[in-house]
Amino acid sequence: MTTPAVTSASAGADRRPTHALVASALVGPLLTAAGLLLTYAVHDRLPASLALHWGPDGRPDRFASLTEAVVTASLMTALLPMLFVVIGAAWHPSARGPLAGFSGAVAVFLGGLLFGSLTSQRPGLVARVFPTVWLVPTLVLAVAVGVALWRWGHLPPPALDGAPRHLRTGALRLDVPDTTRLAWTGHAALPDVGILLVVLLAVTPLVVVAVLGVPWLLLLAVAIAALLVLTGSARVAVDADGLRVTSLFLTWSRVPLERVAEARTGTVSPLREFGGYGWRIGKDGSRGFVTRSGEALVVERVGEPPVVVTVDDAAEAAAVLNTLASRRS
Amino acid sequence: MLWQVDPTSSTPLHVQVAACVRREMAAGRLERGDRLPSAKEVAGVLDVNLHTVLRAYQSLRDEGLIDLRRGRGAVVTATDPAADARLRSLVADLVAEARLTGTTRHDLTRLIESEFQR
Repeated sequence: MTTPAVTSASAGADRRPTHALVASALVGPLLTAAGLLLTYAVHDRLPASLALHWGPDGRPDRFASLTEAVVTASLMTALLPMLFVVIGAAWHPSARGPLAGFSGAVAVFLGGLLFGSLTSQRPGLVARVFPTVWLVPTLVLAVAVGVALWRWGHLPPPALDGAPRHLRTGALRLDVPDTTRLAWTGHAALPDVGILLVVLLAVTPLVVVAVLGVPWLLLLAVAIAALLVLTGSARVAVDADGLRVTSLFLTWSRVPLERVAEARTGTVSPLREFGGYGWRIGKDGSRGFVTRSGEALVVERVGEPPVVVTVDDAAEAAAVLNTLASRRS
Repeated sequence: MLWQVDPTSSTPLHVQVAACVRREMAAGRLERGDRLPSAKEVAGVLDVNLHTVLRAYQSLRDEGLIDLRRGRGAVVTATDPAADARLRSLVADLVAEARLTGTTRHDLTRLIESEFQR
C-alpha cells in the first residue's frame, strides 16, 4: 500500500481541537465565579443551614453552612469537568473536540444544578434538588455550550493531494467485472438486554425525580429512552459513496471511497479498546460503533484514525469496500 | 449482505437483485425471521430504481421466501429456496443430456461459462 496521500499543510497543523479543549477547561471556573457572585448577591436571604444533599424521597438529608455549601459547589463545578479535559489532552487530537463539548456541557450542568439549588433556598421553605426555573435554562445552555465546543474542536479531514493510491496487494477484494455495481448492507446492534440495561441506567434517575415532584421530566425520560433504543443499533452500508454508519437521522460515520486507505477485518473488545458500547472514540482517535466483542470491520482512513464497526461477515464488507475504492484510483 | 448487479448483463436487474437474496439464503447467511434492508435502501446503495427492488422483493414473496408487510418491511419466511432445488434438477437434466450427446465435461463447462458471459 502506498503511503497515505495527504498534503503537509493539513496534516496536524490545525490547532482548533486543542483551543476548544482549553476553552472547555475555562467554562467550569467561569461559571464558578458567576455562581460565587450570585451567591454573594443573595447571601443575606439564604437560610443559616443549607441543604447539600437530597435523599431518594426528595427531601434534603444533609445540611451545611453557607461556606461549606459554596466550597462544595465551587470545587465540583470547577474541577469535575477537568477530568474530561485531562483525558482529551492525553488522547488523539481528533478526540479533543467531542471531549471539549462533553466537558463544557458537564460544567454548565453542574454549575446550574449546584448553584441553582443553593441560591434558591429560603428560610422556612423545603429546598428543591433542582428548581424548575433553573433546570430548563441549564439543560438548554449545557446542550448549546456542548455543541458549540464540539463543533469548534472538530478536526477537518486532511486535504487529499489527488495522487492515485493503490490498494495493498494482499487486501481483501472481490473478483468481479468493473461493470458490476457492488454494495453491502448490514447492521450493528446492541443485544436487547444491553439496550434495556442502558435505558434503565439512563432513565431511572429522571423517573425518580419526576415522581418526586417534576412530572414533566417523565416526558424527557420517555424521549431519552426512545432515543437510546433507536440509537442502540445502526445500519451499515457500503456502496459507490463509501461507508456509512447511520441510526435513523443520525450519521455516526461516513467514509468516502477516496478516503479509504484499506478496509480489513479485526477483532474488537469494546470495553478494553473503547471503554464501552455504542458510538465511541478510542484513545488513538479511532471511531467505533461497537455493540459486541469479536469480528469487526476496520476501515483505515487516509490521514485519519480508523473507523471500527462490529458487523457479521466483516470480510465481505471489507472486500466490497476495497474493490470499490480500488476502482477510483 | 452482498448486493451485486451488472447493468450490462442481459439478465433483468430485478432478477439480479432477487438472486442476491437467494444466494444469501443458500449460503445460510439469512435465516427465518431476518429482516431484509428496505427496498429504498437497496435501491439507494445499488443506484437502481426503487420499483426494480420492489419487483425483486415481490417475486421473492411470490416464491414464498419472504413476507412483505407495511411497516415491517421484508422478513424472511423460508430459507430453502425452491429455485435451488429447481436449479439442481435442471443441472441433472443438463448433465444427462450431455452424456447422451457425448459432450465432455470440459465442453459443457465452457458452454455454461459462455452463457454466463452473455
